[in-house]
Amino acid sequence: MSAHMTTFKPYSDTWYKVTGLVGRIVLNVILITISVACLLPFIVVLAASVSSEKSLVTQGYSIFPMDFNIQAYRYLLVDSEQVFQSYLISLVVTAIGSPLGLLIMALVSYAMSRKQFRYRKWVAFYIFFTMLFSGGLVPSYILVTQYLKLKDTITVLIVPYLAVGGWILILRTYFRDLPEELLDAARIDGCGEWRTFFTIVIPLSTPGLATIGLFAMLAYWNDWFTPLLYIEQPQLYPIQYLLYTIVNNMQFMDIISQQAGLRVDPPRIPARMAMVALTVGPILLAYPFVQRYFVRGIRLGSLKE
Amino acid sequence: MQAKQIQVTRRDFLKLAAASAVAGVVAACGGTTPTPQATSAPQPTTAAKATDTPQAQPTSAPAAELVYYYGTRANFKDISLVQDEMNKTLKDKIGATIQLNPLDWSTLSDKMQLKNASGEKYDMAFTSSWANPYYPNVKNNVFLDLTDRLPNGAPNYWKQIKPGAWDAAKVGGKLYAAINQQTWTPNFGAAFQKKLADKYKLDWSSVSKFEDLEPTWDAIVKGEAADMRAIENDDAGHGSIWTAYYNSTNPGYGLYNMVDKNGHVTHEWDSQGWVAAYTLVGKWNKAGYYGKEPWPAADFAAQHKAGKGASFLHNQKPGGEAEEKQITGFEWTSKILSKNFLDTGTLIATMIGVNKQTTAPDACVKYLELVNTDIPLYNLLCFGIEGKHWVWKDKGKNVIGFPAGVNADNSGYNPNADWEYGNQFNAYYTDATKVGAWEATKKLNDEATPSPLLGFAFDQTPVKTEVAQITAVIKEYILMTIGFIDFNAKLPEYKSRVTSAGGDKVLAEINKQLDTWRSSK
Amino acid sequence: MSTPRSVVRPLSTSMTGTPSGREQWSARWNHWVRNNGAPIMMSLPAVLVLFIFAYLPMFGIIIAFKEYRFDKGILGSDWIGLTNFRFLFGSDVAWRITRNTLVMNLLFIVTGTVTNIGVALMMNDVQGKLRAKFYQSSMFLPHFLSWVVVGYFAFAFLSIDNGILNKVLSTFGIAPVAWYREPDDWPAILVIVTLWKGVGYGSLFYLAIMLGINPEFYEAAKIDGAGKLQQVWYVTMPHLVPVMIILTLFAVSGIFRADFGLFFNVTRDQAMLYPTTDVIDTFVYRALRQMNDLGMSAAAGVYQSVVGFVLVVTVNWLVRRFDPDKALF
Repeated sequence: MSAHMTTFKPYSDTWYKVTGLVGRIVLNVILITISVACLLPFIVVLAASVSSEKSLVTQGYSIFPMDFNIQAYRYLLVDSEQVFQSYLISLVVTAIGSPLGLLIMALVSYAMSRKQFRYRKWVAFYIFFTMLFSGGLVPSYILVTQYLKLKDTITVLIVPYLAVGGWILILRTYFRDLPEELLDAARIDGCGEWRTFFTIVIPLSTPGLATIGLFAMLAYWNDWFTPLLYIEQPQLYPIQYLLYTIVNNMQFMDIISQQAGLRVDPPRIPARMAMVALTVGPILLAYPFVQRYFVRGIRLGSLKE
Repeated sequence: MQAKQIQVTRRDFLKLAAASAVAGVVAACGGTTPTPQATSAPQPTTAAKATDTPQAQPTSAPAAELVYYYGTRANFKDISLVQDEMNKTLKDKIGATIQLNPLDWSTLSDKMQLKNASGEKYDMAFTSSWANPYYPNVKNNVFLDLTDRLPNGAPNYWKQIKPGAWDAAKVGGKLYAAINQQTWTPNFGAAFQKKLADKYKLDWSSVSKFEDLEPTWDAIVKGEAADMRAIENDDAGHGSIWTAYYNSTNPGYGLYNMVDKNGHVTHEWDSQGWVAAYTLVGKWNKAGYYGKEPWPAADFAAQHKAGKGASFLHNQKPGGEAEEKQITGFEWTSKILSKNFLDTGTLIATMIGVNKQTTAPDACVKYLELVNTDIPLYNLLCFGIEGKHWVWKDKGKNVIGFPAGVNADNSGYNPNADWEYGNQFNAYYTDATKVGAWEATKKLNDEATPSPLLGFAFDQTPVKTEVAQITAVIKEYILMTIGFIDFNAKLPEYKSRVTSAGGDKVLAEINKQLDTWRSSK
Repeated sequence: MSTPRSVVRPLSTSMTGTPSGREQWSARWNHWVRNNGAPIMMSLPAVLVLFIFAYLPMFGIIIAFKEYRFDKGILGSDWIGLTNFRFLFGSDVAWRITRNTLVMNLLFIVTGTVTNIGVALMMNDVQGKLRAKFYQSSMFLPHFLSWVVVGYFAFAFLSIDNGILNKVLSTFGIAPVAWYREPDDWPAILVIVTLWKGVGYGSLFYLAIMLGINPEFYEAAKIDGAGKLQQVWYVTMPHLVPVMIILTLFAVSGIFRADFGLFFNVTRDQAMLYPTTDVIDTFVYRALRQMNDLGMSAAAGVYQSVVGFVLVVTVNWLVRRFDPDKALF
């Protein structure tokens, strides 16, 4: 074998080793640079969230807090019951919404990736069209509140990301990338589409599913716009929306304080930074679990059996 | 910070008021009956439960529940206690109950727009020049015509407010909202850090106009470190002077600030005051009063509190210096430099509208009467329940404070927004230093000269394309208001761009409507 | 690669012989069900969700052609033709905003695709698991910062008084630059900010595909004497092309829609920068913020959608001629 190979091999093994090493060093240097560029601002955010507003505007931002000051957190978290409740709502919505949405999206994507499905292009167009055109807020509001009666419900928070056009179409390309021999073999073995989907396609597609699943989780967790439209009861406020209202109410504080006697003087900029910390924290904790699915070689194993 | 910010917001009041004065619409709304809505599915909202049917009105039937939307700075746990307490009084006196629905200020406008657009049923809502905007709502026929209902159904409240003031909220001769009495006069002036005013020997008695302050500012630029600004400013146009000072007849919109001798509005560049104001800020910027570049609007408050500005130009009021000290922690000294005038923007800055769809219009009007005349009821809504949320500090002078163990952070009910519910002059004082402020404010209101355009609302529908384009152009020159864009060099460009965006057409339309408005008065 | 159709082919050929119309119909029906039954059922949930929450409200698009009044309702308001669209075209900056939107979006598409694929390729080659996780997690972080917060940073970096960049420049003896008055520099600044914020998210699409590629392909290529770059070119890239095409088509469909948060907050909406940073979305915001005219804002949205739609249908048609499997629909 080696004799046969060497005749075709333009580079020596040593060459591979040297270029490989140099290449790997270069590669890691680049990645470290990018990572640090991404990480540093985040540390600055954390530092700023425990700084006083005054030090931020007079001395600028830094990776160390100028003066340790947790006023922003105290301001955001003053109503601890509400904060706890809101975390719970976000958790429930994310925990129900992302798996459900992922299932719905994976099903339709897989269907569209099957070449014998006659209407796959029509379905694709139907889905893509929703990415471009939308009816606007007022018609949606009328539909949701008056006909579906979903105002002030958990359901209305779950619905928006159950079927997202872009993600569906990307998932389709992941499914199309599956080795077709395998799917065909499964069919010949008498596996129905459903069984093929659940026993072969899903396990083989974990990196793709994890990617879209992660995006769905983030979308649910970060969503403040849906509650802005449809949620009025504080006990249904998700955490992102709760913080959004607190931080954005600040700009009205001036009117309020001017007119009434009492001074409310919120730490505006640190509060915005603290809001980032409070909402990202749980995601960062969950991230490693998602990362477990970004693994190589799953397909290899099943191909060999 | 406060005053500063207030100022920022005051400025926004003015701008918005202006714009909304412009934006308002008018005539067609009055007479039309609402056509059945495409969207009006039967709406069993939280609101009117048993009383959906019109005949359920009289007191014999179960009491109407008035659904009331307004702004809040936070959610308060005890809101339902306050509501129950209010309803004890309301049931007796007006035969109806109220359902309090506070919405976050940051979401109020969006949420109300959706409710109004979708025809959702409710009874009353906060409306103003700056949140849940009044004129677009009137244009869309959202509010009930109160022109006759208020004087008849709420006579005592009606009498509290001087007749000229009611005109400010009229659109096409009809009144669509109930005005809350509060500070109506946007008095413009300057305030200095006391320490610097003393150091540079500022003598207010020799100051009657802004130019008189120039020697002081010059001295500050020379004498202070580079990061000290003589005049605070930001990229949203804070630090300018034209809106309030040279512009006492301002309906708010840049294009037609000035009324000429015929009572017509003109292009702003045709008015001497406007040109003078812009020339002045240009000179100030060259002299270095404004620093190297404007602060970002988001940093303004923090810079102010950090004492990085020697002075600020904005609304000033009696007692303002003390408030400023509370915010920044250091002393301020200020003077009003504008004429005392009444303007539409501040007059309609806080009002309550009755929804056209209400099934209990009479109860709503009775409620408005009561909340403006029943002092304990009004203060219940403002400050909560006596003993639980507040206690008397000085009953003779109407001063209240928090009960022992309660503070602004942990109070179950502390909306701190008496100005949005009714006549603010009926509110208890939350601070002994403010005793007498209501009388003083009322005096200013009463003595103020009404703007000749008070109550004129421009219907922009016929020229909305042009208004949109001009608005976009004006925004591009915002830094001209604080001299960072050279006025003399850029004025010709500005003129020609506003003109080509349709300036003349808009002006003609405004003056046409102005004539109609005058002749109908 | 064998086509999946081979599986069903025997069925269809068996049909050719059947004379009876009824049997033929039933065979055809069975065939149809076999091919389409499960996919239809699988598509149903998504199709229904989209029908209710995306298609039903779509009638509201007509607001763009109406003088919308709440009391008259969406259907009852008066038709006014294209009046609501006029402010977009009549303005003296119509050309500027169109050009900036297009040029900036094209820049984002090209630089974004190259960077995201590049980073994904490098990540794919990282050996240590821990290191890979560290890179991935940190690159994801900017995604969590709102544009408002990014805007603060940009200012902290570029401000003339206290800005980090100007401090650095001054140590080299370069005079401080008033960045917020230099429109020519801003396309580059915005591209950098966009890449920085999007690389963690964007590279994931490609990385997910790479992780699925059978390592035996690389072994085989190595055995054939392929160097690293050749492996990338001949083994990895063909798998990436479909995703790249899809993502590009998405971007093309949104090419008339600028990221408002980016252009508004990061530039701090400074008029001095408008020559290069004023885009359709910032203009619409500026023109309409005080007007509360739902018809005109709907018109702007419809305009952006229709242009995007026409473009994407065209590009899709081209892609389909070249390779039907890679087309969007």
